Amino acid sequence: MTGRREGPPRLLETALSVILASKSRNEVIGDLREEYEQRCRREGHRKADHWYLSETLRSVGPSLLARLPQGTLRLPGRQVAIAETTSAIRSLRRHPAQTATIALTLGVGVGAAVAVFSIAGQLWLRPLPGIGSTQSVAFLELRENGAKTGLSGPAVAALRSAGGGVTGLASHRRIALTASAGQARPVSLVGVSVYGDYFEMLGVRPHLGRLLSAADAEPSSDPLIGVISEGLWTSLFQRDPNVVGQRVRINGHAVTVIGVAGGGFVGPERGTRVDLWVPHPAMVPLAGVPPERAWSADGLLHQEILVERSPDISTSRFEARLKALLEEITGQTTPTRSLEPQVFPGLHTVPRLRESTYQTLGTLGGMALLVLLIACSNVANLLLLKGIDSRSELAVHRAVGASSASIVRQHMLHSLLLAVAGCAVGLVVASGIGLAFRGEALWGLPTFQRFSVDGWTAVFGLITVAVTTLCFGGLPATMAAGEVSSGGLRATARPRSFLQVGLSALQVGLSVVLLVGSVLLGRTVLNLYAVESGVEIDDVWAATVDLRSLAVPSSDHAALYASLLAGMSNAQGVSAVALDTYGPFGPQILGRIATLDQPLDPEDRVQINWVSPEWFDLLGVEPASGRRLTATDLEPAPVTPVVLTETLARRLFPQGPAIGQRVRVGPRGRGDGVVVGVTGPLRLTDLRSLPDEVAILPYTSNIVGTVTLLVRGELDASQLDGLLASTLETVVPDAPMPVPEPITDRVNAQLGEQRVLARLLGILSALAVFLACVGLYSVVASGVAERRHEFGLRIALGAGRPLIAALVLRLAGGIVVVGLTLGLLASYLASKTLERVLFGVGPADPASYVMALSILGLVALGACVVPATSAARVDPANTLRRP
Amino acid sequence: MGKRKSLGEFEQLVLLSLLALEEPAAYGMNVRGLLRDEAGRDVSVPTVYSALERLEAKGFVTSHVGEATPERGGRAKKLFRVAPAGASALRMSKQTLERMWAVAAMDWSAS
Repeated sequence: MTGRREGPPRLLETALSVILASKSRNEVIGDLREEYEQRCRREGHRKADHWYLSETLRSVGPSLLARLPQGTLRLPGRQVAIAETTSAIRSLRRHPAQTATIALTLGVGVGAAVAVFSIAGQLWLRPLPGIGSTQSVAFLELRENGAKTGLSGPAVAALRSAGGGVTGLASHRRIALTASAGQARPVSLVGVSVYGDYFEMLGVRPHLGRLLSAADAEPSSDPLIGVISEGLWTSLFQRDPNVVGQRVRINGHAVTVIGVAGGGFVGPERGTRVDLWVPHPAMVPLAGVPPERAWSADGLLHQEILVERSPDISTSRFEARLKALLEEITGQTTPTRSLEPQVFPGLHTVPRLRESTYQTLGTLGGMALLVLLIACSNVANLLLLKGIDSRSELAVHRAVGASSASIVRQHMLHSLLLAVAGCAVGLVVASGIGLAFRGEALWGLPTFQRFSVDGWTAVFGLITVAVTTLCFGGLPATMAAGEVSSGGLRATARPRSFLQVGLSALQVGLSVVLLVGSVLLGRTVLNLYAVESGVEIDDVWAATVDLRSLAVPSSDHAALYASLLAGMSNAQGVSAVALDTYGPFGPQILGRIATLDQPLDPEDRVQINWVSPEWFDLLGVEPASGRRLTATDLEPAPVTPVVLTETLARRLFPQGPAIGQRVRVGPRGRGDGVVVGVTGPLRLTDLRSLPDEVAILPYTSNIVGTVTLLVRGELDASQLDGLLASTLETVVPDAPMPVPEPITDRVNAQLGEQRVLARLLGILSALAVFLACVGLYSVVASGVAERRHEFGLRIALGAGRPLIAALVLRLAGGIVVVGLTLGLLASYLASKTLERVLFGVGPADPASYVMALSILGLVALGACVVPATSAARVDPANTLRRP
Repeated sequence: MGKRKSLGEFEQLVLLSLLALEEPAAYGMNVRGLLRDEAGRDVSVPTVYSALERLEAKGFVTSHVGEATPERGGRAKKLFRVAPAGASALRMSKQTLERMWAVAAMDWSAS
């Protein structure tokens, strides 16, 4: 026994028997089967199966055309066309409730899909402003032993001129800059130093002046020139047309503006905004890089690299060539390096965000398609019911002389009008969903500000609903037209019950999938917000003051910081002020810590916060043992007092109490410290991770050019701006104005992906449940309408009204149970795709499943109460009088 | 006077295929094979049957049900035969074409 089935694939044969016209169905299937058997003997089963599949597909078109009455596709005359259109519109107006339900259902499905794809497109896929055609430009990432690395100046120059398919190369590096022009207060900028064919490769055009060329980045050229963005041109120069040639003070140096980048260009990385581009040699004066380190083989590494390949080379061949070139180039300078190049074609998303972006896009797309599928199956159901209802109408049309072709054309027109109405509603629904997401930001992506419908998505939606309405509205009408022509006035309405019940169960099942996803994500968001961070961040603002561009000796920084602290703490509306490196959930400074008897491990990095003593009160951090930092700890001392978080203390001193123990601590682990206190567990970087290992030191032990003021108080941004401006004016008049940010915003940005997904899935699952209930209602209501006579008879024979209601609910219950079972299985499989974004709840969490099933089961049965009540109220006398 | 029933090119090819095939072989699958091999027309089985049904409706072919075989999954064949009206329509089409070719040839030689 081989176990091989007999004959062609059963599914295809069944599909053929559905597709083919009844007249020659048996002959066609018989012929195909005979030829299939011959091919099996000649070519084997596999090839024969392929042949059968292609024959099945080829049969679809001719079979559908054969079903159309002759002359259907011939264009009618103008008069006839007007008459048919008017008749189709009249037919829609005759049943306003039915028409509105179908249009609304279609609209919800299309609207959800259009909104999701438009939002996704705007956040992730829309071309970046100002960038020209960049088909062959890609991000190049270099890895060494799995870790991201870069190329030294000489190596990157050698690769640029190496040929071998590399037609262009550029690198860029971000630098924090402060700019001032005229009398205005200095502003913080995002600057980028560029090397190579940066603007040329990206196809950026100048709005004014010229852009930086490869020659500008040569070591010998003038480093103090720059290209500004249109945004900076507006904010700093008020769009002065004579800006080219003007000088602007950047980090204390006079930089000449040589041009304004055109088309709103803000860099090639989505989610980041660049204000100023300077040539690579500007790293020496502006970032303080020693000149010998700017270009040497052991100096600055170029990490963010863009490459342009010759268009005739595939990505994989290009990677292989790059690897060979890099081996040749780095072999001359550092023979031990073994670099793995990885090319990321397209500039839509930076490499580090690609994987999560694709997963999120996949989840969103899947969700939207599910809702569209539910809507389409719902409309199919409604249209099938409508087709059955309109049989007698068809028969009247036929009896008064309408041709079959004309009847079918009218129905197709009718379906298309419904599709157009559905799409119109869809656009309204999409705009509504779009509005709900204004101002949302996903991690590393631009904030979603303005919703606009994506044209291609709208076309896709229109085609989907047109096909659905034609398949389930126009075609059944076509079949009905044929049957009606042979004595349809006598035909009784018999619903295609199996198909309708199946479609309804499918809708319930798909809704379960969305609802389970929604419950899982909702619980994730709740879990995330319930995470105990250990710090109180409500009403706390962070404002980073940057003194690096000022000619203030670093020995004066400590005094300036103390004055800032004092100045702010006396202000009205401020309840507490403290100093921190960057504040909770902001950028982190990693340093080293070890006990005296352990060697320093260069890989072992912990977070260090240099803070003022008020930090503990402001954030509500109480040491679990020992003490907090005090004002006396700010005095210079040979041994720095250190407070550790519980997690770090337990790792460093597993044997006993940490208090009083000596440690080596600092950015490089060279300072002497003594543990004076241990806090409870703190999460200061990521709510989704385990409690952080943090060492808290007095800010005076590591004075750098920046400090963050943490301010607690019931203030808004403008009040705080005013306070900061007046304090800075008295303490450091030339300091750039910081941008205050609520700490809660940082947390919200961190949880953005979960929040957006939870909200979208919440909206989509609510729509899906609504659609499933409409579907269920229509099926049950039509069943009740059809069995009205039977119910009347039963009541007349003595059946109680509760029994009649129970009969109806049994039909609905069957559909719901089948749907819930299907949905449960599908949800289990689908929820695995959400695993990455879930927190504190597993993809197979039983409580979430029970919750989703209960919600849907109750709502669905609720939708059947109306038809059940209507069935129980059937008046037997009235019903039985009718034939 | 009723309009004379005419033959399209594809219908002519189908009728010629039926004439070429022996009686037990004159059914859809073989007609399709002949059209593909001899006329270079690779069409689907439903297309062949819709042409045969059209010809039958015009009275150009007749059909009867043949035997059911296991390799057809127990389904019977529908065998076709060219009716006298079909043969005469085919002949008329051929004559018309020949006449037109002759006229076209005269025109060519004159030019």
